[in-house]
Amino acid sequence: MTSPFLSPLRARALIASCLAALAVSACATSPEAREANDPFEPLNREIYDFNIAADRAVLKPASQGYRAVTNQPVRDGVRNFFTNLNQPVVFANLVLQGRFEESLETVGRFSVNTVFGLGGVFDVATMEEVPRHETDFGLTMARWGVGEGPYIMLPFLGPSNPRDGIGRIADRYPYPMNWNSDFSSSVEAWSLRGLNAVEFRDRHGDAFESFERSAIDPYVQVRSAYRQARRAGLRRMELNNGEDEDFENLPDFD
Amino acid sequence: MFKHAFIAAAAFALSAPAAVAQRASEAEAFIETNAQEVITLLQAFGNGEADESAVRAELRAKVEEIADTDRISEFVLGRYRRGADEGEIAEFKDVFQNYAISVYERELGNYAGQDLTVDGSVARREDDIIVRTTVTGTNGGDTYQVNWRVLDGDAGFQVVDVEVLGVWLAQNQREQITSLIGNAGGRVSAATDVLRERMQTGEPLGGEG
Repeated sequence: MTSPFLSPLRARALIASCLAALAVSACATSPEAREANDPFEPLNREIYDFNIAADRAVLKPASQGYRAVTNQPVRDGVRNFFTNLNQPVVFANLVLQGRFEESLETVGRFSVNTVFGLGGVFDVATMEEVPRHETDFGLTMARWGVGEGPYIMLPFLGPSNPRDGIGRIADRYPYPMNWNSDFSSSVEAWSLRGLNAVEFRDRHGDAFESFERSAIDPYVQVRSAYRQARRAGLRRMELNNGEDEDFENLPDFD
Repeated sequence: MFKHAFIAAAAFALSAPAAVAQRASEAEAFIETNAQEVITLLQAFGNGEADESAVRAELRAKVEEIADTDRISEFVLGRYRRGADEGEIAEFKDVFQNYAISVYERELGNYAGQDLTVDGSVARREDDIIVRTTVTGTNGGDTYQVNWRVLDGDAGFQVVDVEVLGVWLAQNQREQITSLIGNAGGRVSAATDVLRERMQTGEPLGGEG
């Protein structure tokens, strides 16, 4: 019977062959791709095309159907519910980042919305002017000094990098739907995940289309936008709660 | 003599921040006035008080007035601006400016019925100011931050870049353009051809509509 674990020798051989494959892949790309830290650009472009095709075949029609059968208050309720459901993830990361004031605000927001907002459907906390924060484990690792690594395009999930990809996996643990393993694998849980994806697609539909209309090379456009948005998230993280950005690092136009 | 020089230097040091604050305040007014004019124009169209061709023409004129498309088209070429054939550069700038104006013109249409509030500004230099605004969507839609980079040049204040949801538009365009040129072995005309085709077909590179 073959052992499921690799011997050290086989593991080293496998790592060496992977590195060789990566090197070949890196060499196969243009100097622009290397400069953009996108050594897997040809493969990433294939996955990007697949994601666009999947979006057009499934997610976009589903979001159009969702819009057709719901009104604005229902859509707001669904969005509030999923935003609230993610607050334990935000809380855990704020604590790990040492942002204790914001983590307390997040606890307050989650408690108020869960209890008085009927499970988060109503955003009572915003009415009470409790600030909402957004963060994730990718940003936490960045705070700890972990570099982002090369750009990668994930099937179905979109633009990422090794740090943010690992962050997505880690963020599954504080997410309430995964607290109970029986529920996590149930039909109800998968239905909720599907609804979350459809709601996200619907909410950002106009932005996606506006983005697509103004694209010159959509793949590079998404890569650039992802990196810029993540770096903006990092800059916000480094600011004190409520402090404004100084825009020091913008490029010259002269 | 030293006393006079010291007084002059002190006066300059004290007046410089005041001058910067004054320019920042003027930049805020520039964004507020022009944004309001665009919103009013779009509302007139929405209410049926103006026809589409008139609104388009007026919007185009407005974009040409408030955006420094010449400077933006130089910026998006990145390092390929230097050393390239001047004829190719001129042709690129012409095509890119038409493309950029058509994009801004169309995308500004998305601001119809929305509300823009100036929140303040950050002066990077006296002639380089970021005006921070909040845009509130229609029907209680999302509120989001839009930052305008305004440079003070020969033509007065002009916008060179806009940041929406953490993404600066001109920086994003520069990555797309330089990637195209780089993949074509440094030929600026490759980007010009793609932009021209893009305007004719309405399809992005590799797009399927």
